[in-house]
Amino acid sequence: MPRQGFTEAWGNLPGMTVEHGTFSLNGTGSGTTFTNLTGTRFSVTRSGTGTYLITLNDRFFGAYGVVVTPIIGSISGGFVPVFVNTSGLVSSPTQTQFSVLTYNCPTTGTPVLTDFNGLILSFVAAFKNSGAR
Amino acid sequence: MASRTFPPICGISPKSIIRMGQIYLDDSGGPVVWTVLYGSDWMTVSTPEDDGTALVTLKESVGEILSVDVTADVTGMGGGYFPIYANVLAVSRQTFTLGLYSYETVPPVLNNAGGAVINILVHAVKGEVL
Repeated sequence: MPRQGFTEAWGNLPGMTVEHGTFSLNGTGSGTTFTNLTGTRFSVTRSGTGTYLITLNDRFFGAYGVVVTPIIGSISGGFVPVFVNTSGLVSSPTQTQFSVLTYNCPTTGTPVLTDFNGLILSFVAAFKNSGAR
Repeated sequence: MASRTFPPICGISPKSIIRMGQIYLDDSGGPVVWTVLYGSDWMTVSTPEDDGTALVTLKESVGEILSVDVTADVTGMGGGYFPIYANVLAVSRQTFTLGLYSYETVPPVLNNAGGAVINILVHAVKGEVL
């Protein structure tokens, strides 16, 4: 399986590994499915309306953070702009997980509104190298 | 506009650096306080204004900041305050300014939401940009 991470030889912070990936959402409601576009060492599950749990299948310790950007190129009118938040970033000796919360308009109190069809989410996460396979 | 020359090594220059970190904004009362959670070895954060903005300065000398990406993390936030919006208001050679919003307010302000974490990814290039 190809490595998706950068190494410090590329100029990263010493001891830091960067993982990245993109995936697209297909369908609406509970039938939402996902397609990995780039990156292979992660999986996506739907944990609620507009909420997606990303699991990185590798060993990392200590998360520096994760940045997520929505790519809306395939979404038809009426669903943009799209906003995202992250939540629950946790690293363990066996895996790393975080959630992405998506919104399709400014709102209060309700963190998620709907599932998008065609939305692509891009993420970059950084971790300490110690403990990585 | 000057062109940039990168060696064909995986599409990124050996002079290129990637930094990632997290800063925390406490808006629970009184002056807004920003704290670096991760990345204190490469950045400092200051608050020129008592609002939802922060000035981040890279400790190491770089030729140019190529990009800054941010995402707000809402872990631990109470109901009624999110989504929280984070964006980049300005970028200069060595610094960039972040904005954090709750609701659809302008200018940046968190409305005493208590606190929020901003994830930051910086891509910069060392030395002189060709």
